[in-house]
Amino acid sequence: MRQVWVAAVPTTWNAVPNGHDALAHDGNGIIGPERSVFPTVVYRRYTRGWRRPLRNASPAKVDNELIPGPLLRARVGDRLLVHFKNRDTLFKRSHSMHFHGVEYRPSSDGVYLPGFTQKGGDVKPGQSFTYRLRAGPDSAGVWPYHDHSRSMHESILGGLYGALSILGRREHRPDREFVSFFAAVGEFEGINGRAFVGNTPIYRARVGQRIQWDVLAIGSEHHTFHVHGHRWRRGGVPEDTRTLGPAESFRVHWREDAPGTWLYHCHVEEHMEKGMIGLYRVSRR
Amino acid sequence: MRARLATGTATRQRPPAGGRSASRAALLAAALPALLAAALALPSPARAELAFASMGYDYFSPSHLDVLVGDAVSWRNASIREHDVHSDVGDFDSGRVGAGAIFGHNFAEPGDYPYICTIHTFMTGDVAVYALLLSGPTTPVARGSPVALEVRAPDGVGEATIEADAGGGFRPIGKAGPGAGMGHQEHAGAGMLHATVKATASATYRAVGPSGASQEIRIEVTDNSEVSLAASASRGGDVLRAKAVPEQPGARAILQLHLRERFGWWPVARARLDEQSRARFVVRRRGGVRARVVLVGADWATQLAVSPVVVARGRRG
Repeated sequence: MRQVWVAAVPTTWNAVPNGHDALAHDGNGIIGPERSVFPTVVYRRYTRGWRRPLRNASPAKVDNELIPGPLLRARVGDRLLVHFKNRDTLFKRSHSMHFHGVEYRPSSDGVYLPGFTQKGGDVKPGQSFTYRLRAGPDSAGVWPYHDHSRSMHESILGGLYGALSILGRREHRPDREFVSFFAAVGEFEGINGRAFVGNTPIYRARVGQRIQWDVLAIGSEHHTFHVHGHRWRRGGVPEDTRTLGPAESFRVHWREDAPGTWLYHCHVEEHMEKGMIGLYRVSRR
Repeated sequence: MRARLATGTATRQRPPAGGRSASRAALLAAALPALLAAALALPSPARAELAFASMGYDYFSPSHLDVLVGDAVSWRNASIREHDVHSDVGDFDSGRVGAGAIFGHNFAEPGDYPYICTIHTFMTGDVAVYALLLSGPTTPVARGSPVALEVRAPDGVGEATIEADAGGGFRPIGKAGPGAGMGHQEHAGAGMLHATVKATASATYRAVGPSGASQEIRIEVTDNSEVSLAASASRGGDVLRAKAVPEQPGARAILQLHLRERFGWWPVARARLDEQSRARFVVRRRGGVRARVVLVGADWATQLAVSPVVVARGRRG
């Protein structure tokens, strides 16, 4: 059985820490803090009993990389206890965690539904709730989790979502696992809460490594995941671009063989222009 | 019985720290039981404080004190000749006070109480009694930076309005409350209210409560913050030391590196300036990299001052 401690916590988020869109065709592209910085509530990983906050991802940078929330790992057959605490002292809203892809009873659905809501769908500020999940035979893959309380829509816009990564019973862990959440962030279109090249995650790998890319989308738009210089197979057919809609998710695997600095991005032109683009850097060894 | 040491907020004069002042306070407390009992028995103040003044050879020091309604003031004759403390307005008179002796009075009503020594009539002073007492930074702050204000309030006053006058008259700009402000949880005791305001221009501030206003304080805003930066090699990497002028302890500073893959300056570490307005960062990156330190606002992004660029050589080997 795996146990994790997660809290919804306030933070001040900067979607564009380098302060500009380096690909702006007018050569300016300056984006100041008045546009890129906003207070929000995010999921954060904690030690047992919420004693000490942890980083959601590594390598940790100045902002602790709080969007998306912690990557929750499991293997088919595992039981998973997610201890959630609402520490929203910013908006003082109820929140919840609702998980895709795993098995649970209605009490762990984390959903707000007037007349039917149980405690886990309406965790008030200062309260906590434990979601009891099981990774069943159909759970292998990558799945989103997100707030499904009555403040779901504002919360998701603010970054209150994360990913579950579940390996099959006999599946090996990849050498590199990249989580890419495609979602709007403020006035921009972002990946992991960041917009524009240089600000979005820079993924790194070496030739020969087994790569797993966890791709997810949330919000109200469809996106297309495209990586330069690489192809992967889907049902035996090679492709280099794949569409996903809100709350859809998939994994892409390959063994790395293409050194260089590459782009990955959403190929919906408007989204790419509004920041949904990043770097993938592969070293020779 | 509790006698906290008060300071004259106008002069920022504080009693000496350490055992000597504590023993002096104890001595005073012993010498003035009636005064303190009266001060603490008053209905309004949460915790009456005792403000200190002394009578010199030919002066009162400090000659001006700001106190909260209900506070007491004690005058100690620190000179070799007799003095007295006489006020027509406040209707108090010490009578003759010999060398080393003490006179105390507590102030139950807001107002300004001028007093003189009737023996040496050129010796004058005054006590200004306010419904609230406001305190804030006494050195200039960077434009746009958050400013922590403290309000001492009588019992039962749980909120005060902070007003600022930057030239066009006082306007409300925020609320002070028991929990508001940053980093004050440790002494969020009775009678202390906190507010954090954004200093956009030099201004005069006051706090206004149900029974009146505080004294006015001036907070100067400067654009002339400068950050110096020096690099020195150490075993773990290059150590970068930044210092900001004018001094602004607690101000936010970020370390930025100029990185090709980040297409410009990229924040890699955060710090608060220490008491000497300094911050220290370590760069462990291999190879040379351009580095700078930026003073930022409350959002950790708005730039207030930027240091010169240094080349950090990072970890060797």
